[in-house]
Amino acid sequence: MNCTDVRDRIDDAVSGRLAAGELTGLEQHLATCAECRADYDAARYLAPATGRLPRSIEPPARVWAGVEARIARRRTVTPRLAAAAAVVLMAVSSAVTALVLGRDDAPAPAALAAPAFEASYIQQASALADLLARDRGRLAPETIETLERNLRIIDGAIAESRAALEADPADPDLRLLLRASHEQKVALLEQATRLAREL
Amino acid sequence: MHADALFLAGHAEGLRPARPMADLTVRRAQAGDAAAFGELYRAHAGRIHALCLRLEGDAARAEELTQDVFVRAWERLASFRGESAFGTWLHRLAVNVVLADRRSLWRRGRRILFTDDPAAFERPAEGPALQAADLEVAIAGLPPGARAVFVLHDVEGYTHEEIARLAGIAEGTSKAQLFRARRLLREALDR
Repeated sequence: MNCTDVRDRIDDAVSGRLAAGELTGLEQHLATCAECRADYDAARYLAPATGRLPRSIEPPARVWAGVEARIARRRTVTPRLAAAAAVVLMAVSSAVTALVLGRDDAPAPAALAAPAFEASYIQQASALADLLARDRGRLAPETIETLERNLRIIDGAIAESRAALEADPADPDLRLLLRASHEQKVALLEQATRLAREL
Repeated sequence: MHADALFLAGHAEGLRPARPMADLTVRRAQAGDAAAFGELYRAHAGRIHALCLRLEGDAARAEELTQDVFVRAWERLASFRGESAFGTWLHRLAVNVVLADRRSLWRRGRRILFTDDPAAFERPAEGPALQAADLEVAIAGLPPGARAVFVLHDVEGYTHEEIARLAGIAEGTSKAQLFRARRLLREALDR
C-alpha cells in the first residue's frame, strides 16, 4: 500500500470496517510512514468525540421572529388566498402530470375556481394529457423525467402569477404573465404529444 | 376553502391514500400556510442551526444564516418534490446557502473558502487561535476551508465526492483539507 491507498482507508480502519487483509497492509505502511501515522492517529483520536457532538442546537427565539417577519414581507397575498390558489392549481397540474406519467397517487381535480380565461387552457392541457397518456410508453424515461420537471416549473410559475393576480386583479401585466405561462404549458404538452406520436 | 379542507376532501373521496402528517405539513406550507411552515421550522431549526454554527464558527453570523436558510426554503418550497425527505432537502439547501455566503468576498472581504492551490493550505489560520480544550471551540478555530470539510465529512457524513460537488472543489482538495483539519484539531485539543 502507498500513502494514497492508506489515506483512502483510514476512515474504514478507524470505524472497524476494513477487511483483515487490508488492515494488515495498512498497519505495515503506518509502521514506516510518519505522515500517514499522524493522519491515522488524529482520525482515531477525534472519532469518538465527533460522534458525541449534538446533532441539534436550538437557535434563540429571535431567529424565528426574523424568519417570520421576512416571510411576511415577501407574501403579496394572505396565506388563505395563496393556499387556495396554490391548492387549486396543484390539483389541476397534479392531475395532468398523473395522466402524463401514468401515476395513480395524485389527486383528481378538485372543485376549480380558476378565472374564466384560464378554463380553456386547463381544458386544452387536460385533453393533451389524455392523448399523451395513451402514448407515454413510447417515450424514454429521461424524456418523461424532463417533461415532468418542465411541467412542474411551469406549474410553479402559474401558481405564483395566479396568487399575485388574486391580490391585484386589475394588473394587466399579471394577466399577461399568467396567460403566457398557460400557453407555455400547452405548447410543451403539444410538443410531447407530437413527439410520442412520431416515435 | 382552506388547504386542509381540500386535502381532507380528497381523502374522503378516496382519491388517494392518506399521507403521513409530516408530508401533509410540507404540502400545507407549499400551499402558502405560514403556520405549517412554522411547524417545519420547529422540527428542523436545531439541526440547521447546529450546521450553520459549526460551518460558520460565529454565533451571531450563524443566527443570520439560519434565518437565511429558512427564508430561502420558504421561497423554494415549490421546488421540493418529495424525492428525498424534507429534512434532507433542507440540509442540502443550508449547506448551499452557507457555502455561497462564504464565497461572497464582497461581504466581509475574506478569502475564498476553498482553493485548489496547495500553498493556500500553509497560510496562517484566521479567527481565534487554537487554544480551546473543547472540540466545538476547536472546530470554530479552524481555518474556514478545513472547518467546512471537517464539519461536512466527519460531523454531517457527506462523502468527499458530495463535498466536492457542493463546494466546487476537487475531491483531492476535500481530502487534503480533512486531514489538515484533523491534525489541527488534535494539536489544539492536546494543548
